[in-house]
Amino acid sequence: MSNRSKKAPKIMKCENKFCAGCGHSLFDRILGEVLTEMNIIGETIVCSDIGCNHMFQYSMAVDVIVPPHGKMGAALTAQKRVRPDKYAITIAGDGGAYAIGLAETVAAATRNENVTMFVMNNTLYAMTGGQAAPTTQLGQISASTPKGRTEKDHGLDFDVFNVMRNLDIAYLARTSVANPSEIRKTKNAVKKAIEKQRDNKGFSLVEVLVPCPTNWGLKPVDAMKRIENELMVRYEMGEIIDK
Amino acid sequence: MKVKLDVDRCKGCYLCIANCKIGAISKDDKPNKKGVIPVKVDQEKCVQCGNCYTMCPDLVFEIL
Repeated sequence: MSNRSKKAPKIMKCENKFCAGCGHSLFDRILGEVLTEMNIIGETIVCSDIGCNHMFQYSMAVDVIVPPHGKMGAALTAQKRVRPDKYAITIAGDGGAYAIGLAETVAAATRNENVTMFVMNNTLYAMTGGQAAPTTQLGQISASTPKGRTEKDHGLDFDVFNVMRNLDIAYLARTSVANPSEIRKTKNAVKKAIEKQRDNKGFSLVEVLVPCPTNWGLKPVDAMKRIENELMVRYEMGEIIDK
Repeated sequence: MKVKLDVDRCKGCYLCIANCKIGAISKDDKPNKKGVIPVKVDQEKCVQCGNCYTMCPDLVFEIL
């Protein structure tokens, strides 16, 4: 075994159920690596939002609770207050965290609850068939915007960071899984966000831009290129708040 | 051997081929259990950079 050896952590107990080239499975492995390296698998309870992201629980050996859809901010708050000895984290989608559960997400951030949110942003509702979400980009074709999103008919796309950056929270970052370098940045951000909770610093949110080749109608490699050429240009990347 | 592959896990996204900078990964000839054409690695060319492990959503690769 060389010092370059890399093996999937044992927490990834079996094959995942995601589509080919899905970004969720990449993130799940990153989270699995961080939980293993920090040695906190037994100390963690993951709140699972409804959506493609919830399928992590079939392939990851970690404790999970499934609260009502989108209400991750409220569920994490309750979990952390009842069991302050456990890490309260969630893997949510952009539909759950920024549309259906926007009120709970922003309310938890406003209270600066000591919880950690990981939001997978693939710019649409993936599990229900690729309908437009608030994060769908102008001009983007989706199941409910077959001619592309327009400002006149559907309004401008929504960036929750415009709200979050003004709040008194511990950590806010945006990364992606588009290439190996971005994956390393994502892993660092995930680790930092969990460390903020460990040190009782307060609310942390990491948004990860992930591809959805199935609903974008692109090959997996082209979907990664779309993230690099379109989304990473459109969105502000990196650590926005780090206290 | 530098890289071990679990080809039956491969779903054929080929992100590994796109991210292998020295071109050591290519498509195999026969389909795997899923009916997908998996990938194969040229063990001679491989420099164990780990990009394939990093980019594989399905944990096919193990760098030895």
